[in-house]
Amino acid sequence: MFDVHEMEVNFGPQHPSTHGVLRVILKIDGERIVDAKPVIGYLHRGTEKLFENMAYPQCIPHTDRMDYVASATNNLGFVEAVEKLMGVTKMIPRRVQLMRVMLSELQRISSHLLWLATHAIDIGAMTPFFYCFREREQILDLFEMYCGARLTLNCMRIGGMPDDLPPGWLDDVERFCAKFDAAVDEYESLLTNNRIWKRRTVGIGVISPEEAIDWGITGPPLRGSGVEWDLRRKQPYECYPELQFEIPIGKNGDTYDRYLVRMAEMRQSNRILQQCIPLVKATPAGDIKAKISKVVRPPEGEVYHSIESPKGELGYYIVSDGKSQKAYRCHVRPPSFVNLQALPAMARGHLVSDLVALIGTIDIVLGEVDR
Amino acid sequence: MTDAPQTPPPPAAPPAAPAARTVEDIKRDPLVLVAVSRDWNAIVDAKDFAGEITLVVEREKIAEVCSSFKREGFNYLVDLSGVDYSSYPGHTGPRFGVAYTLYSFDENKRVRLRVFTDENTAIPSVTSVWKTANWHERETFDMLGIEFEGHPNLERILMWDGFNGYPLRKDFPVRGIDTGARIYPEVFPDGGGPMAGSTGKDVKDVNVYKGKWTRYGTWPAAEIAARAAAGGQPPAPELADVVAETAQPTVEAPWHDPEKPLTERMELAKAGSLKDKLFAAMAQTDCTACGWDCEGYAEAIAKGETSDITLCVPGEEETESMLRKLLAEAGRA
Repeated sequence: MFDVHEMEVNFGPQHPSTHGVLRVILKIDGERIVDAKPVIGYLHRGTEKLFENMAYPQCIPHTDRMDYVASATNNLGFVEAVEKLMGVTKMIPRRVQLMRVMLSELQRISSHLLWLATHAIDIGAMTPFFYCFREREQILDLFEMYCGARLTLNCMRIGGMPDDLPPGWLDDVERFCAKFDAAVDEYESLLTNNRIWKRRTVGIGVISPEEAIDWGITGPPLRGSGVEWDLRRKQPYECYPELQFEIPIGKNGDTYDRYLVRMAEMRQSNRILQQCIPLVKATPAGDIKAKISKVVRPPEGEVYHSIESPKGELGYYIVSDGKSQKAYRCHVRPPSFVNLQALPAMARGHLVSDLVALIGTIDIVLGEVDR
Repeated sequence: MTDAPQTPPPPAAPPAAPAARTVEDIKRDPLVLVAVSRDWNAIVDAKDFAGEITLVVEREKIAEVCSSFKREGFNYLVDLSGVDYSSYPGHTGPRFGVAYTLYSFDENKRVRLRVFTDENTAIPSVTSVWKTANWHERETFDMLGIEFEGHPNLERILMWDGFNGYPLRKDFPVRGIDTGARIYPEVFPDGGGPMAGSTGKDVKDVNVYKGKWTRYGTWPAAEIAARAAAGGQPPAPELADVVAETAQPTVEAPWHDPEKPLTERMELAKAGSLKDKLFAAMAQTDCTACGWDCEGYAEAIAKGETSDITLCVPGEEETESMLRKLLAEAGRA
């Protein structure tokens, strides 16, 4: 008979498929995972402590460094939380709202493209990487046109935007949008009906809707389990209520469904972008600042505000003592941190090679997990 | 847990203006009324701000209140975070607050619960209510030192085991503390290292070691002094040099020079003991690939601690054949 022999191995923190410095202590029986224990904190930089020691506007560049592949949505969550704390949410000009929506949807597409490229390469499909980076490069160029940066954008301000759109930017976005749906078709033609891809993803890491909610999972992993829940619809912010888009959901809650959800989300983001372009053109140029005090000193109180980031619910919990220009406490609820917690539950019973697919499908960014 | 209400809730009040609601009014808000009615007296305070309801719960009752809320549809724990109120203006009472943000999918609304505690009193854990509370509570423990009673695995999560202090407490310096970690021990003194929180105004203030450069490899003292005077940091130490410095031979060993060829080394050690001859046959780099320095490996072979003569990596075939020859001469085939 076979001897049952459990072994403990380290997966990471310097493993290329852990997407950063994630370490997983695996208990394996042969190739099968008995238990997995994620060990995090290798990228901890004390962001929350820094927030307590600098004025609100100074915090915005630091939010870039959390989810560093989706910094526009990090900025958006923070500035909206401070605006809610100050009670000026309704005073934000329409042009600002549309610009914020456009930047965060571009960011969602670029984040999903990076996810698809790395997820596919982890599983063994090399080609999508080149296709995805082709389009991602164009989005980063658009960011560079707007704010000069490509990754750490720092592209929003409390009560407005740093600058108006540069001439020709909307036309460039329009050209990008016109071609993007065909590009998604191209990615899907490589993967969606690919037999190897399906063997590696269908039925891997199944998580039921009830369990997903119990683990606090949000974003595409929750929607992949069939829960139609998206903060852009449920608790709309900016001008999302007037935009037409669908919330794609999955059925089985496995890695393949989460893949399909993200692919469909890219198409929906493209749809939102196309709707926004004529709306921005209709607003007066240069109307990019709300008429609020230049000194950010919110009243005493506390707020929790969250947005739908590409990875899930990104929340900021800010406590203000009403006397200073600094947050008394600013806690970040990062989606990656919470979603990663369910990794052991998803991985148990699968093969070690599936763990690579599971880390990819949760779509973690360690900058955000460790903060 | 009590299923029957401790005090029957009064009939629902007419909708009041949101700004001026009293504690009792907030508790009768239709969003929380049913959940709260099970432990009516456990809610000691309530607040309304920016459209969000905050209920302050008695510390011992928090797990029960959370289960009541979960039963009423608040089955998603959004966030759990601690606040150190020790320097909050006008704050009295226990030092720490822990905020639980709950969400109801049916109502599409959030509620915040809060408990207060001090350094020494644990809060009942809510990991049995929501699985997601596990890492949130570990993070709160790690950052603020608040303990949760009944948590299955309350250990540090972002900082490492053995880290001394709780970083998000208000009395923890933003500059950082001496952690006792050894960062380049040959450059920085024990417990020292690059420091956070420098002003950045002076180049000498940014991650530059200001102590003496005594244990710094084999760099010439004049060059080290020149670099330190210019405000710069010498390049990272050459590890091989450090090993060579710490592993000097214990006896007079003129053959201990990797530049000398094997024949010359053997000539120098001709009159020595077996150990000296074996020592001279080594590559003299003290690379430690065998597990010793060169002298230690020679001694181990001479004393019979090891019979493996293939371990000298830089010496290659030359050293191995010489070792075999020496051992054969000594009658130790």
